[in-house]
Amino acid sequence: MQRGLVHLLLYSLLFAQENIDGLLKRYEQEAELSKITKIDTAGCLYIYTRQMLEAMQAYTLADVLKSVPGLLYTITSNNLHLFSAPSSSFIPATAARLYINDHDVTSASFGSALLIWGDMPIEYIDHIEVYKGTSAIEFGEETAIIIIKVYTKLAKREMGKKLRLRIDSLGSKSIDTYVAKSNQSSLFLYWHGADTKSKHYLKQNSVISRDRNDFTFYTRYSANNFSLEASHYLLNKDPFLGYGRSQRALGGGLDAKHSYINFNTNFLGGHWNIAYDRLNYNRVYKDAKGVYISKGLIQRFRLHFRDEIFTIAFKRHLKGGKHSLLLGGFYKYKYFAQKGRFDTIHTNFSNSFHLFTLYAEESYCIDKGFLAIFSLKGDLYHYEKSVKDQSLAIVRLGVIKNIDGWQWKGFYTKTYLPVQFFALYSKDNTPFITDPNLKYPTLNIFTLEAIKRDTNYIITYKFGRRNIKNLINYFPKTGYHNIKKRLYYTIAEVNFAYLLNANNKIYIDLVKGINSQGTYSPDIQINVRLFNTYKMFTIYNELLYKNSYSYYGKYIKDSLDYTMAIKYQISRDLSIGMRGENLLTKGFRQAYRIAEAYPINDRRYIFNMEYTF
Amino acid sequence: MKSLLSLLLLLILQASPLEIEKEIYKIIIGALLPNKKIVKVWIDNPDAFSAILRLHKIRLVQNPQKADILFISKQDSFSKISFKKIIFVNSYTLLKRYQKGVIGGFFWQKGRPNIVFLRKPLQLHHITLPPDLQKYIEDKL
Repeated sequence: MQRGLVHLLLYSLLFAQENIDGLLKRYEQEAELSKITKIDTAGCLYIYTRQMLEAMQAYTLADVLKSVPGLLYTITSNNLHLFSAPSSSFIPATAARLYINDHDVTSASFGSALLIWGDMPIEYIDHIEVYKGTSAIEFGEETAIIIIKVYTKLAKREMGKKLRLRIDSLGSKSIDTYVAKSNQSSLFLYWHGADTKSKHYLKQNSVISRDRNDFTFYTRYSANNFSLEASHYLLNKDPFLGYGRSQRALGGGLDAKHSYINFNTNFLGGHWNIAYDRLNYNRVYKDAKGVYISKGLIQRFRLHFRDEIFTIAFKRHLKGGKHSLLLGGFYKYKYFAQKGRFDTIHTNFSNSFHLFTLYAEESYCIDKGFLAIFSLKGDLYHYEKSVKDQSLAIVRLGVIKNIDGWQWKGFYTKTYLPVQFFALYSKDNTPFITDPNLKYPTLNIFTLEAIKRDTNYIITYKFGRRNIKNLINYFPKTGYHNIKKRLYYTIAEVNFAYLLNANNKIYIDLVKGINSQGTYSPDIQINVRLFNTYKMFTIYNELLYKNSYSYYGKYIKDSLDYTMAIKYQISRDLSIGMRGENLLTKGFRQAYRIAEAYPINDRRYIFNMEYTF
Repeated sequence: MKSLLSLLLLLILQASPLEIEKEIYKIIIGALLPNKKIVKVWIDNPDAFSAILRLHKIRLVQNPQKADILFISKQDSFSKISFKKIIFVNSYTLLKRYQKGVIGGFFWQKGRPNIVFLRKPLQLHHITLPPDLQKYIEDKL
């Protein structure tokens, strides 16, 4: 009783001594949307709050994902984004999914969103959550082991207009603007346009470039019990090294567009979602020594994918006593069409599938600070042509328990990776040799986390081990095939966050990965990130260290990628900033089979102006 | 003593947004009605002003005529009330639309929480705000 009164007194004193400015600042921090959307049971979670994104002056998703511990966000030879884990080669594209306000923007053709959305602008994004070692059941969505969830700014909190202008030392320029209105209903409108230049390399008359330009439109209307979103993303990218035998591209690149509408409402005690996506993806490659396809060597490679995806999903939370049950299901129809022109060879075909899913997740509170989680999901894929039906299940078991000031989280997941259309089906095996009988790769994932939270620091130890069977690989002569051998991967991670106060924070991450296949990328990562505010200045420092590695006999020395951003708040509505990337020019270099290694991030100085009105 | 300081720091880090919002409204109500020991409050939407409902020194009234201060979140509510009362809103749109009669607002705008008091309605009600709130006074929107 006495202790309770002391607590009450202290609580009163705390607020009594704080002025209104301090309360408003703390209210802003505590009301961050990232604290509402995160799901602690879904896997190893990394959050980038709005405050962090603004301090980083992050502009694209790539600016953020490059600093996620235990993941290496890299670029393929044809200028597409993919992840690799420490020590491993590229993780299959279907392992990662990207959601914008819980809407999956993954393609049906190639099973990933990052190939198009990997550089998406994030000025309209409030915060970003990255989950590793997950199963996606907790989100009621298709399976993945890496989930990136980005949440847009809310009109009712923005209420105004914003303009952001940006130029950089390589000649890039961009503009972002949004309008937010809210009364009984709310409307958010966003436009983005960017012309992004990269450092060019000249190799035997071939210009190697990663230049890109993109345009985004996004709108969200919310009223009473529903919300309607529409978005259009248009992207053009240079081919970088390309897809040919010499990896010296002679033009071409990627030309893609993705549009979607997404409707959400609460009805019959549950949450309903109806969405339609349409995606066009056009790739053209020319190479100094030609491009190899299944029919031989060609001079000009042109491939066009068209996806259409229709989704209807339902989920409902039932809570009572110690139980919390999530029940849901969805139906997706995915259509895939491919047109190809490979010198004189022309292809034109399509296929589609229906995906039926039911899932349940039970969280049972055994005791205070002791939670058990059991998830089960069944997926049925029914293909229109050639490919045999697949019926697959996902199981996830876990416990979260507090012991002596530490929170322990242990999870076991048995899951699978979907196979992208272009590996399963083609007409006349052109341009790739496909296999409609491919087995879906299956995974067993075990993760263990120990988290200690104190008044001014958080320390997390993470250990993960996974094995994968039937991983899909491609050989030009035999085509897509399953690797029968089970492959193992182990990762250990320490994350340390020290919060000096609300304005000064340091994050340190140490990661080590071990791969049973050998080492194809750095197996040690050390990330250091500092966030500081001094009067009207906000300063961000980021140091990303990766050790040396060998890639098919090529030795790549260790890297230290240093990024610094400084922002000056001229008034409450106007700020100017500068961000320097790869300042030491010792940033991570990705090795490629034929070509030499190239830095993933160019050294560039970015000037930034933000004005709200 | 050390444990008390730790507890204090823990509280600073763990106060919920609703608790902080309650403290902000406590300061606002205290500044607008400094001489009232118990303030009679009328609200048009309990969900929008749940933080106010947690305050100790208020009494909720059903009839706006009997209230010392009215908290409004919906435009429809303005047809039911008298502008002679002290009116406070939680929306920039409402504050701008009814700025001649509304004394102030606490709302999200441009991605951050804002407090605004309007000079003329303050003068009309003969209210002088404490020094730390003076900077939130605007002539018009």
